[in-house]
Amino acid sequence: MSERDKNIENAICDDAGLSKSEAAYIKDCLNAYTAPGLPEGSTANLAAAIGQHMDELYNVPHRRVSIGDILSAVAAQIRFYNAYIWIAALVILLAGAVWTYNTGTASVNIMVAMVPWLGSTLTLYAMYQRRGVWGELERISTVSSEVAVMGRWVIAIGLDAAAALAATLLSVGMGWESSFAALTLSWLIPLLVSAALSLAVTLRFGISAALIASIAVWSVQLAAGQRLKAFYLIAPPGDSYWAASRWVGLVLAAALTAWACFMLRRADREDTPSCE
Amino acid sequence: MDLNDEQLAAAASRGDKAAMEVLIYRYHNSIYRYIYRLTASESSAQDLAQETFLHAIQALHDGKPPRSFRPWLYTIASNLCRDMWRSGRYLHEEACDISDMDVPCDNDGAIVDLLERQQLRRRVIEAVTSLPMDVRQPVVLHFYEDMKVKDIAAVMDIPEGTVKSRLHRAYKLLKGRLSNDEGSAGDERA
Repeated sequence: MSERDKNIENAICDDAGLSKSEAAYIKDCLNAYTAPGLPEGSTANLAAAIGQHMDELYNVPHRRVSIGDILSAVAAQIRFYNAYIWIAALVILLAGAVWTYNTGTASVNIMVAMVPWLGSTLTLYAMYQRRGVWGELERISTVSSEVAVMGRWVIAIGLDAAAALAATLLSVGMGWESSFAALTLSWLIPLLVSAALSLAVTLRFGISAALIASIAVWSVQLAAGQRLKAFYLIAPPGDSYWAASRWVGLVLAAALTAWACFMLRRADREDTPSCE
Repeated sequence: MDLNDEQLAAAASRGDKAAMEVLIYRYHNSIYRYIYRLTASESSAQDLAQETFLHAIQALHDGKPPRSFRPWLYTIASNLCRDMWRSGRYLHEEACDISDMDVPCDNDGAIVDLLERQQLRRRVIEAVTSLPMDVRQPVVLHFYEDMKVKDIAAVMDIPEGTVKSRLHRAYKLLKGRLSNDEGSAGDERA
């Protein structure tokens, strides 16, 4: 018996807790699964093709990064989401600004009421399987698919957080009565809960269920309003339970994210087919 | 003096074609066999093995060379397989190409012996390809590619403990399936 055979037999014994004879039987069976050889010359052909490809890749002259390069990188990032999502974000910002201007107070409700819709859309968009630059990047990166989806999700949250910051700075710049932290948190917490909810439900029940769940949860939030007390996640800063509702929101978001991670790992195990 | 994989990858990332060629000669066949045993399709294995190296050189060009080349290359191949399954492309391929052609046969071997070996090969392919992918992948890497648990963990991006538990599950499942098959094959013969 070769050294390799002895080692693999021992490894099977150790790994599966099988007896020596059982491990030997498994080893002999698995050894019968021979793979057909590569067609003659295919490695040489591949080496030649890769060589040509390298000529093209490496012969591009290096140049300094210009302002135009930076702008095109920013444009590529913006194109990552389709135009409707940016239009929706803009509408929300403008609606919040107009509402705040007309009422004369830093009323954030109109903005946070619409944030969950944006959060859900962004999350569902992040879940969408697609080709192109991001698909390519994920394929060549040494990350698992669950990490890739979570990465997309974090990007979705990050972009919306940037919108929250823009809204806050806009209101502060205009001199409206508002607190920087209050407005940002009022945007981010509902967003986190909403995005985590839609991610978890999408993974477990599908995209349609996630949309219905998001609409239902946030309709109840809006309809039940003050009666939800600390569970009213879009409570304005003036309410006495405002801080408590933020903590509840964070805990909810963490729990839903953990559930989403669990579902993602499970889905990843199940979506690879066997030949049965 | 032979350069190791990582040194060659570093040279390839700087545009050294000879270094890349050595890596291709070192790994083309093993990557092809790995993909074949995951997909059970010869044509998919050939295509995806080529794609693996295209992605590898693109990644070497765009970023830093990997700290450990072999697991990194197998990760690219695994991701391409996963991508193929997700795209549904495998549905149009010969997904379970269980041919009898590859059993080595010496001229002195009896026909009965050859047939038995072909039958065994078919049973093993069916048993391996019927394993869920999360346990099929570690067993292919462990048994056929002689990969250590640490490297399998790096390829699959899971903890070493999880690799061990999946290997345990895989060999148990294989034992159950192959033992049952042997029983039913014996019954058929009787």
